[in-house]
Amino acid sequence: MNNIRIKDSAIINHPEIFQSVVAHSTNMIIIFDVAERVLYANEAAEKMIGYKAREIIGRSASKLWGGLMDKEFYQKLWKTIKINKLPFKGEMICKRKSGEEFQLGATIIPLLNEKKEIDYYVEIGQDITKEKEIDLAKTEFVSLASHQLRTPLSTIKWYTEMLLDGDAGKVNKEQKKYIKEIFYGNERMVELVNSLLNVSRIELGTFMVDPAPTSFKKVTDIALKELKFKVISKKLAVKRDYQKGLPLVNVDPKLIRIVIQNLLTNAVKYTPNGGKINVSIKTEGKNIVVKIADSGYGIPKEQQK
Amino acid sequence: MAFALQNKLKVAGFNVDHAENGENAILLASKKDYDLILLDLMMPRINGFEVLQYLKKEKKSKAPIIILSNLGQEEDVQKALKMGASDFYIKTNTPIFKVVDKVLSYLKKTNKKINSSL
Repeated sequence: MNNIRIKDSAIINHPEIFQSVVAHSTNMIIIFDVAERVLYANEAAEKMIGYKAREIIGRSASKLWGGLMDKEFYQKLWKTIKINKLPFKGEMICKRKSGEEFQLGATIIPLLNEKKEIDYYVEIGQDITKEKEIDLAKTEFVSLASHQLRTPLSTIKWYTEMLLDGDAGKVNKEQKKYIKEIFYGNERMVELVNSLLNVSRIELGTFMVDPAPTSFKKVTDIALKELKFKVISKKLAVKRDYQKGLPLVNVDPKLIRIVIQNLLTNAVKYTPNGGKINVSIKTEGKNIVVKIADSGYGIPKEQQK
Repeated sequence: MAFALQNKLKVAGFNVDHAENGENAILLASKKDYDLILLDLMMPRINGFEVLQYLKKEKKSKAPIIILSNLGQEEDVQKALKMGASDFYIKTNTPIFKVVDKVLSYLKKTNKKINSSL
């Protein structure tokens, strides 16, 4: 707030303009003094916390928060605004007059005078209860759906494995080849579901990267094999240029596979029929460089950032 | 699913009982002492966590319990291990021969009786 400079004196001389903006803002705006006494609350604040402005003016601003967060949260909040004299941004659970709890996305800003002392605090907030609920539902849905997807996949996995092992009688060469295609197709699906689960885990804050010695050559070849049919149907010429004796690299093979898969899928998708794709993997100093070049349309200059 | 594993284990020379849900798993386990139990978590009516609770808390079963499930979030794994499961495998990420290997390594020195509730 302190950084705002208004050059147009015509506006600054009309504080009623600002008053009107604040009064009609859809964000909750509460102003309180150094003794935490509420001096002002706008319409949106009344709606959100359920009190009329006249009911809360003069009351403690921090008591209005309801004290539902742990002590450290409020300590950090006060330290930021009171001692460091900086704006505080956070999400807190608050209580309405009715006793109903809600999630508040709040920014609290100390307003300093010329002596750098705090005169007032401004609290700007949004009710983010609905957003939080939707977020949680989404995460739960992804998680549940992924688990449900895994069930048929594990059935396919185990039964094809048993077929390949000859548990249901001998399979001939041709049959084995077909079953293997089913098996590897299913494995890809398993990994997709695992990736989906990892995405939902990022939201849950427990994302795990699982590094293991990985062959870039192998990962790239598998990704290329998956695209075989598209490559053939588009009559693309794929040239592989792998340096000999590439070292294994400690990365998460599933994640690196997604990266290479994306690059190759795009190369195949955006290269016109009969075009070329060059895939090269080599070492450069301590790094491994994977280059995927195609004779496709390219990315427009302005989008290359 | 369970049929596949049951077959595989029988071929490997184990005696296997199969419970098709959590209720049956508890019923079977209350009648017999098994050397090893393979347990799923997502089952109708009584889920795997409840069966695990019964086996470890009420029955005080000493048999190792291996979880084989398609749940596999960190929380599920931690919860199951805390409740006394010996191992946790996600079905889609585990080849069937590995499950058999695991069973073999657990049962090397004991009798051959298994209850699988999958």
